Amino acid sequence: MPRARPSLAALLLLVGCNGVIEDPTAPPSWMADAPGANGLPFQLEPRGPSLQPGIRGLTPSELSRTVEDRFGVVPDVSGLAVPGQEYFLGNDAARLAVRGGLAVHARLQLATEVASAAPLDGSFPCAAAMCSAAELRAGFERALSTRLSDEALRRYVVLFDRARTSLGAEGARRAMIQAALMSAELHYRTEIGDRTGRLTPTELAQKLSYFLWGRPPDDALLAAAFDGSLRQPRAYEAQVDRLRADPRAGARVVELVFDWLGLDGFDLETRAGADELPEGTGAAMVEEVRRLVTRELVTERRGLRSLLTTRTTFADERVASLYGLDVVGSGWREVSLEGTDRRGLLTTPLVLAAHAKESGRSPMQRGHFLVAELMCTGFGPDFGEVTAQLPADPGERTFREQFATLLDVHPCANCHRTLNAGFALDLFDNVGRRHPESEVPASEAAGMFHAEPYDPVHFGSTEDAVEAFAGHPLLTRCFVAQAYRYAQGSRSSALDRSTLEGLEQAFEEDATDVLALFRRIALSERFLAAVAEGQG
Amino acid sequence: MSVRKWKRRDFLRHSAMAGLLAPVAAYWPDLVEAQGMASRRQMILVFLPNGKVAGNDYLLGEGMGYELAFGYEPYADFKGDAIVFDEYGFQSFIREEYDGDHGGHVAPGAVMYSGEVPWTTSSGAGEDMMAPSVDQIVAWDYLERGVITNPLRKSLNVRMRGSSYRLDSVFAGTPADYTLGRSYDRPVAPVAQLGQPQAGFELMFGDLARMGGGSVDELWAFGRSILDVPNQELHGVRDQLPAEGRRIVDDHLQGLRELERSLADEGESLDGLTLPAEPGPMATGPDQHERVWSTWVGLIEAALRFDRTRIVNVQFGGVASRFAIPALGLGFVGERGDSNSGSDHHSYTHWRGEDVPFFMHWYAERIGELLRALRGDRTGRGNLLDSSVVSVGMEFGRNHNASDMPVMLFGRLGGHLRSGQRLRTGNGLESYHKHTGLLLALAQGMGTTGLRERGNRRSPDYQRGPLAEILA
Repeated sequence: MPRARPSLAALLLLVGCNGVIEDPTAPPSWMADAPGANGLPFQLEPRGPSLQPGIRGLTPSELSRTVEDRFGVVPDVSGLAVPGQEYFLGNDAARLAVRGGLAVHARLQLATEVASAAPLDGSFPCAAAMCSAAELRAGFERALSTRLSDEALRRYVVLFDRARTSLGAEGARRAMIQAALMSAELHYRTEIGDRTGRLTPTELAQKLSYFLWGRPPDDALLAAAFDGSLRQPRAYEAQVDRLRADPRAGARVVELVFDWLGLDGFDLETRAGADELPEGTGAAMVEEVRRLVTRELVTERRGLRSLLTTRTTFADERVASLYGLDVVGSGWREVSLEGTDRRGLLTTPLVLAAHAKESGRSPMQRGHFLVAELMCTGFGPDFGEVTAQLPADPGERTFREQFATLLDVHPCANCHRTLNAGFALDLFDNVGRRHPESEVPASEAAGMFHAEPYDPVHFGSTEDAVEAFAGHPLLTRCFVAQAYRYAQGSRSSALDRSTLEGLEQAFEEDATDVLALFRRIALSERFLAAVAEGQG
Repeated sequence: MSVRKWKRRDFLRHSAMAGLLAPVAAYWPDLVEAQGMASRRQMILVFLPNGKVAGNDYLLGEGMGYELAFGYEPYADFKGDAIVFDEYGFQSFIREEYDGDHGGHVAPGAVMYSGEVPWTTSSGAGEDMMAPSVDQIVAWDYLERGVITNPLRKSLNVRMRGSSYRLDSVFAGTPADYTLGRSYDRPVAPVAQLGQPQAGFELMFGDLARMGGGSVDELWAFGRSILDVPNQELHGVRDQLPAEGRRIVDDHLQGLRELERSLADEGESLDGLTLPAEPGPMATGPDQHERVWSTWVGLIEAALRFDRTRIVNVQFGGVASRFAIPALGLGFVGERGDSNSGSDHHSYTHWRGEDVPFFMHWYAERIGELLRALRGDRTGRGNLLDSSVVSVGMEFGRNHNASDMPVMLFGRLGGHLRSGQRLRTGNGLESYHKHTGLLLALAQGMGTTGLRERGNRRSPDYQRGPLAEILA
């Protein structure tokens, strides 16, 4: 049998390009008047009507923090299924359903384990062995971050009595924790609002708190919701500012960046050669990015562009080794990237490794990452037959030069005019180290990123490319849209058009300050609006 | 039949004893297998990634005198139990009805057991199933009709470790609003798959009793009482939500119902049975594939033989899986920088098709191990294969093309299937109904006779009833 050459079609299959990109002159998705209309530049957007469900489940990490805040126990949430999210943010409401008996069983197990271990006085502090109805009400209202109806309270009182008979006084209080942990009020929050079309105060408190902290409301926010003062614009704004100033908001920013760029859940062990790295290298790679994002976007508030272009980062001895930097001693320290081919977030080992193949060079994978995740753009719904192949005999041409020829071939050019930008990150191997110059010379990091209707960006080095990506309008458009999705838990629609346009403009005016963006989102009319049937 | 509830401590004691006695004693008692077996049917659907490539013929010679080519010899012992096919394919259907990538991996994986193309995103990327797989339809029907009483054991979903591309699983469950034969134009959720044999053991034999003892067990037992809380809350909010929200609520309510039924299910007694040894946590990396699979084979056989479930699905990796098999000793193929290069099955389909049969041979050995266990070859436990069907489906039959698929069926499904034959189905769009007819035949053979059609209704001639040629 003749030896098969890898077809370009096959190559492209793994990066999602199928020969035809969408109409490049089409407007952004929120400008499309109807689902299915031309122009879905966000690859992350599924087809069909909006999936805003009006009820939002918790991600496993949100659930873990909720249990920690309310019951003082950090639960093991590894048994809870994490929905596939290649095209979704982790908190996409439509993907967070509890499906099947096994999933409910896993939650009952978690509830039982937490209830048996939780400190009782923090959760259901009852003055006597017999919890009064008022004490049960207080316990459940705090646990569930919502007012309890009289009917619901009666249910819990009956349940408590039954539990006391079979489990004794302490057991009954633990059973109440168990019940709270199984409550739909804990696992979901609604956004259906009241007759005014706006979220109720408790809905708003929960939405705000989970958006900015990924946690349930604290006592002050909950009190403002319960007494209704959160309805007052000034009071609400004060709460937004209070939450935004809290370190927990910074942690949420980091979480969003990880989700946006597909960094959460990365397993270094899946990369060839990872077993030769010092123990803990994977965790150190994550820690570097956490520190870098925190400094740029939270502590110093230098903005998104600075995050991408900064010339310093953090390293311990394991990360420094990946960078090829000599460091003395252990521990984390700020290090300069001067004299290297790197700048900022995109050239951190974590980002490079998370978007690399198991082994070998990965320009198309990284190109796809730049196009689809960093820029939120994609390849259209129309598919053509790919006919071109990489040259059978590359001759003297380098790997990059072979791909460059595809820019002159229709329809290959439709994808490769953006995909080939992955060569900007191709100097680095599958765990983020610099390839030896003899194998991949610096000249390989050259090319073009041309997402029409924007002007093409030409680059001759990784640094050039990073600078160009950081200044590209698609970057800020993408990030604003993702932050907004993070807040709303669903994709945007025509109703969000003006809000997104305003947020984009303001983000530029704020020098891409992410915490300022969070504030603007939280204060937007759309954030405060309820979800109704047919909305989307 | 005794209805004594299996207690956790008994269970642990027996499993520990089984582990100790396994090497020296007859492992299985003879008494249970005959019980009800005549009327029982078992379905095992297997999905193997990547598949063969053009030129990897697997049937040599004409008619029933065929021989199996290299890569398929381990099936030689099962020719009498098998239905094999020439030109089995649905690439033409994919080309006609799929909005996404016609040469990609995702669609064939989805079509294999659901008969329907995947649901696509705006970029044309299929990343969700759009129809339940046939095993889950039967499971749904069994629950509805009370054939299965414990919803959590309606099927055993096994995942051998390996990467997957986009599609989480080629097996998808029935949504909360499912009615027999219903079709969807939205994503349906993948089944929850188990990668650890220990998890399968607990699900099938532990009766989910793995709490910490003492007060924790008491709390766990009380757990049944509190399920009414979320039930009422969800019903209370359901009607205020948009349609998508109601679906989320319905899914959760269905889960609650399933758990309630499971907790209420006394099940049959396990008294007198010696259970398979508890496997414990196992490494599941590629170098452990053989050991892990052998453990699964024991668990699958036990689960079916003791009627803990009647439906099993098995997925080796996933679609486009970089399924590596170190035991084959095959090295890197391809070129540095090429994304389809490596030492795995997928890379070999791209670079060294002539060696792909080494992978097929390995899979065939694994399936053969399962078939022998079901047939009771070495244990004399009775032939479970006669009342079962084992379907072996793949991703491709040619390079990036779901034509000439080496699909095989084993077992007689209680006399429903006419095994020991070779059939030609055809690769064209006009043969699509044969694939859906095969799926329908399997479902009806399992007793799900109310299912009358399967497949994509946009496609002309998508259904002509069960594939008659495979029926006895």
